[in-house]
Amino acid sequence: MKTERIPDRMPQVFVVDDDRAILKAFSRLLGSAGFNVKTFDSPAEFLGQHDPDVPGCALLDVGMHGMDGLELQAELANVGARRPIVFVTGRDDARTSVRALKAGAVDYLTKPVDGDDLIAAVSSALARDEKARAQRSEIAAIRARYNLLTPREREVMSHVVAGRLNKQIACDLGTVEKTVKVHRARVMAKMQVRTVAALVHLTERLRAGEERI
Amino acid sequence: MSQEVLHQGIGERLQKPLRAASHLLNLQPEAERPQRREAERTPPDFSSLKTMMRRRAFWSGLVGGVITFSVLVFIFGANNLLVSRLLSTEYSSEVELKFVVILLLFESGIIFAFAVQDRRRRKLEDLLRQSEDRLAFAAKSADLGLWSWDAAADSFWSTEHCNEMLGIPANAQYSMTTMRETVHPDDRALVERALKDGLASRKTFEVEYRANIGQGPTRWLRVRASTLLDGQGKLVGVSGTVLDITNRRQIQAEVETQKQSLSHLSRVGMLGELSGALAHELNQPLTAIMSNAQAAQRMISHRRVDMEELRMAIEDIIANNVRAGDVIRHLRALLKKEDMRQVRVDLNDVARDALDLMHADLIGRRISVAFNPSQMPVLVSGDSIQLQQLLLNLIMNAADAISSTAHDGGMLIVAVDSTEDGFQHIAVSDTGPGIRADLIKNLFDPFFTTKTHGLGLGLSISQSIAESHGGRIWAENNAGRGATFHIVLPALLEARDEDRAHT
Repeated sequence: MKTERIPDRMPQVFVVDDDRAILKAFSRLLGSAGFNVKTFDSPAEFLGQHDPDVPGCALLDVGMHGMDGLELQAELANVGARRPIVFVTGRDDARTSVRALKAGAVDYLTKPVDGDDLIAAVSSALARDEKARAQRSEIAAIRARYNLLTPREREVMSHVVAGRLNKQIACDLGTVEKTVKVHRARVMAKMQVRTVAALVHLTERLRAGEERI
Repeated sequence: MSQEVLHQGIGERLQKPLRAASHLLNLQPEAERPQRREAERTPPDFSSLKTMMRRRAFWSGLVGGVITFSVLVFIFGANNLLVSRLLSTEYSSEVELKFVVILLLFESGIIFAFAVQDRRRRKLEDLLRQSEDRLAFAAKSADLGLWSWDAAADSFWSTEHCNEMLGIPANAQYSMTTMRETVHPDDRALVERALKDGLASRKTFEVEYRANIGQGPTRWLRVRASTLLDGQGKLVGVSGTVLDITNRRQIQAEVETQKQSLSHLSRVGMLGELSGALAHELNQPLTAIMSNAQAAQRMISHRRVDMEELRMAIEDIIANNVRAGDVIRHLRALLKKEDMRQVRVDLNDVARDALDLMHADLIGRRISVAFNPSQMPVLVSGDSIQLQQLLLNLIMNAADAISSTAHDGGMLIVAVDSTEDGFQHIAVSDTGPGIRADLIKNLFDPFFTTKTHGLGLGLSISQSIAESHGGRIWAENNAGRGATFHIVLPALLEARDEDRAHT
């Protein structure tokens, strides 16, 4: 885990609960553990101000007036915000917890919740967010490099990654080996790799990342 | 005594039509009318009434006696004079002789008339006694004691059974003071007020009170009385009946206790159903306390302690502790078995408390709530716990109705307002399936239920709570979806300064 943080990109813990006493207490507890906390007393307020680019996780109450925590989770997924969520509930309901976890919740805690458990859950949610963001930015970088390739270079690259030799590629593409060598060198330069193995690794990451997205 | 009664009876019989006639002809002396009005306005004063009655009885007796006596003295005296004259002289005229015979015949006629009248009187007396016996027997069979109070003599006439009920020796003569002493000290003011009002209004009045009878147990008596008026409409006394209602009162008290127990049991059952929601109500402040306390712990372990933040955390711990305490107090009040207490209650608060208690349950069932309280206090005199039970019942029914149809929530509306005709009104509306028309009139019957769970006592108990507060409850289907239950209770009227003292 990286420890350096860009000040305006500090991870935030968004706490949403319609009980102000709980909101204040969670905010204080998480604040004492060194987290940056933002509180919202209604799901609507949270959704209204939500910026998916701000790193961090959400701590949601399950039972809220108007829109409950699970609906909020679904709504976040709808707008494409992949923010890790920790649920806190007043009633221990197995069905709801299964639904929440299936929909990707990091944890599902029952009130009264122990402070250490809450902090641990929030920490792991933040770690998951950070990891996901790092992955996303890495894939975005690979994608950016890939986008620099011309169609011909991409064609050459897919053959290289498939493990074919230069002359085989030249034969397949109906060109001479020399030209393929030039394309290949450009691909390696643009994708910023030195070995074929590294190129294979990059394309695999890209494919896996795009699949997840 | 019986002769007096006869005289009185005849006199009254005559006086009634006479009084009516004089009313019709407006023969009453002008001067008397304002006096009567005065008498009507102020309750009569017993002591002056008594002396007046005494004086009147004395004078009428005296005048009657003197007149009868002088007529008899005249006739007998004249006859004796003539007879002695006849006997003393040798010669007497035929006229004189005839006169003497006539007088003698007249005398014997008078004596005969007296004898006949005496026989008739005895016969009447017998009839009267029989009738009195019959009346007394009938009264005793009906468990009624009869009594009558003579204002002039301040003495009571009463049947034996009446004395028995009052705990007074069978043939005792007693006064109003003795009578007052039989009343339980706590009820004396009540009895006095009833008597005073009855005497002032001159209508039949009724009062139920506890009687202190010797060392025995306290008895409940119901006294019905009406004022006795003389020809001039003046009060001469009061007469009436006494009925021992101890058993009835006991049964009433038992029924009341049973009702209270039933209502209490249903309340406990209701809270059982709500246990999940109630646990949540307690969980919230406990969670806040826990988190605040652990935050404080972490703050202290830091090298630099932010005292202000620490103080705020502790303040919040205390505030949440109070909140948890309130929930427990509220629960305890609902679980407690208590007699009905009449206090000043704002229905806005009752509705809010009930909705607070149901909060988590309604959220859990995904039912949205609209609460429309009145801007002004909606005051009634009543038992806040019972009223809350009533409202909880209606809200739970509404929630059940909503849950029985839609899977995806529904709407519950609770509205509190005052009507223009002095009633306070609560309406609980739902968006459930409504009530089948043929069932609407059976809704409030005990053991009537359409649910698969529950005893069907909720609405029956709700109705008895509404009625014990002098109000009523009814249901109707909404124009759109669902049904609405209405409760109206009489408004509490408060003096302005009292109101100010409360606010």
